[in-house]
Amino acid sequence: MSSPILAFDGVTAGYRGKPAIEAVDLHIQPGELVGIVGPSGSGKSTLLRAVTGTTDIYAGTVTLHDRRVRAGHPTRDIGFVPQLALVEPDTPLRAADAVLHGLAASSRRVPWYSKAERAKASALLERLGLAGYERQPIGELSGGQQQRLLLARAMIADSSLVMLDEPTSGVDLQTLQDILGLLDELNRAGTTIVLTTHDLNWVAASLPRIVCINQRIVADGAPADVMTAEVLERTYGASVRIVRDGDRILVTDDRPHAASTSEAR
Amino acid sequence: MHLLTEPFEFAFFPYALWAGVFVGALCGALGVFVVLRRMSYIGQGLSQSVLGGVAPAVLSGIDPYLGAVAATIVAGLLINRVGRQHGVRPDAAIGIVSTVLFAFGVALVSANRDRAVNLNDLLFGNILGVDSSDITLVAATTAVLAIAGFVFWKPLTFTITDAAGASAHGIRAATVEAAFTIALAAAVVVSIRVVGVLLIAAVIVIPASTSRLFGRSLGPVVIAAAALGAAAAVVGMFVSFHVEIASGPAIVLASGAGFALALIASTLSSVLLVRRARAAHA
Ligand SMILES: Nc1ncnc2c1ncn2[C@@H]1O[C@H](COP(=O)(O)OP(=O)(O)O)[C@@H](O)[C@H]1O
Ligand SMILES: [Mg+2]
Repeated sequence: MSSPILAFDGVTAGYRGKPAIEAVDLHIQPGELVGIVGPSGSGKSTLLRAVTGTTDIYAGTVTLHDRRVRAGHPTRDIGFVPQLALVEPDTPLRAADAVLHGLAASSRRVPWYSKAERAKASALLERLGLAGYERQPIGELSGGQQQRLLLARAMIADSSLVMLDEPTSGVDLQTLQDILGLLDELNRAGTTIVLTTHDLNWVAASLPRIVCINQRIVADGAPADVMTAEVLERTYGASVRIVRDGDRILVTDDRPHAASTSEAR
Repeated sequence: MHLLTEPFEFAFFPYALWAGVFVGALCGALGVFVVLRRMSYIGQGLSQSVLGGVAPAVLSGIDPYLGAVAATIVAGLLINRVGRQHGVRPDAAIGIVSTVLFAFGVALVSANRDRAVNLNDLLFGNILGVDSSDITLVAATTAVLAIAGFVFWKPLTFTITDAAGASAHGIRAATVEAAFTIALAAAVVVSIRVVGVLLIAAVIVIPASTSRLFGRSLGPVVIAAAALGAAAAVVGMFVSFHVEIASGPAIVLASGAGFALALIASTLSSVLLVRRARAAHA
């Protein structure tokens, strides 16, 4: 096997001395598309922050592109979509400029971005269904639009690894499918993608590999193998029922007559 | 026209005017980032802290300016560091650091009552005392910071609008924030001569806020804030000359008047937009 693009080896990491993830071993190969699933507070965001160097690592090593990640040191060659936090409506920053921030660390021209870079930002916005919004201040975009904008920002540098923290939470079904379709396209073009989600049915079940986490890794593999009642109960601490319909896997609660198949939060 | 030419018959006036223009533009431009970081009172905090360095300098016979520079930079870095701490908000960090340094200065002054330390110029500014070396200092600081702003525009704007996003995308956000704080400290130190400690927050916050009322993009907002700051300085200096009020308050009053006009214009324009929309959908 080639060397992994991203490797966690025995990683314990957290905040102010308190671990949020423990003894995590996880190797991700170039070109993979991996979903991290788990309930709120299970350490999904912390796992990604351990890669961007924004959480404390107490034990083990995180290796990115064969270089060890150190807390507080900036990482190179990653596109990152943070968990959505809406920006103030009056932030004086236009959508195109926010996308171009994805090039801030690598762009050499001072102080403006080149025509080619600007054209790329426009093309990305268009690809993400935000054509015509280039000059709109970001705070005046809707939540789903801001989410797509952050995705454009993560994509613009053509990083070999793109990580997304809950890219599908709080977006409508159409946007969710657009985002998943786009990630799939990006992945087919060779980009390694790691995303977190708490949406088992719409998101996790459609990915080739999922990692269930609850402080520690509970299971890791293809949805068909991982999404079992036993694993999900250990991950979520709630009992669930799995309905298999050919290739489709559906997670529902196991109360009788439960009509809802909504995500386990 | 006499009103505009008469002041130039006095040797100090061109110096004072230029110093005011540079200070107004510099503080105005930096103010945009300060306001975006919700640290509107950092200018006030930094300038108050100055006393914590000036008092020991004067008492030990060192150039008070050096004391001011040291105190402001120490205060800036401390505010930056304390504000980062879990459980301390930036506004509280400003309050803690600046009042403690200020108290330290006052304590030293009060313990040495026999040796007169004149705080008047420090508190209110003394534009009449501005000479060509002051102008050189203010102009050089403005030039250096303007060039730095150009060169580091991309990481600076990314960090100020989204520090966490910036560090995830390969920007040394903590370094950018510390560097910005030092730049601001430098601007405050060179501005104290002109506007004084008590009014420094105004030259930082008011032009930036006026410009933000209309701007939708960071570059133009920064340029407009610099222009507004410079304009307020020019208007303030002439008013100060003719009406015989101190230059610092005159500059701040001019800036405040500009903000008030902009606020009215912005309110009117939104009222008109609502009316037009109502008419269109009636
Ligand atoms: N900035 C922080 N400071 C202290 N504790 C935190 C911070 N962020 C997250 N935590 C804690 O770490 C744990 C994991 O959080 P997180 O990784 O955000 O979970 P998830 O993304 O799976 O919802 C939680 O217990 C949370 O309270
Ligand atoms: Mg999270």
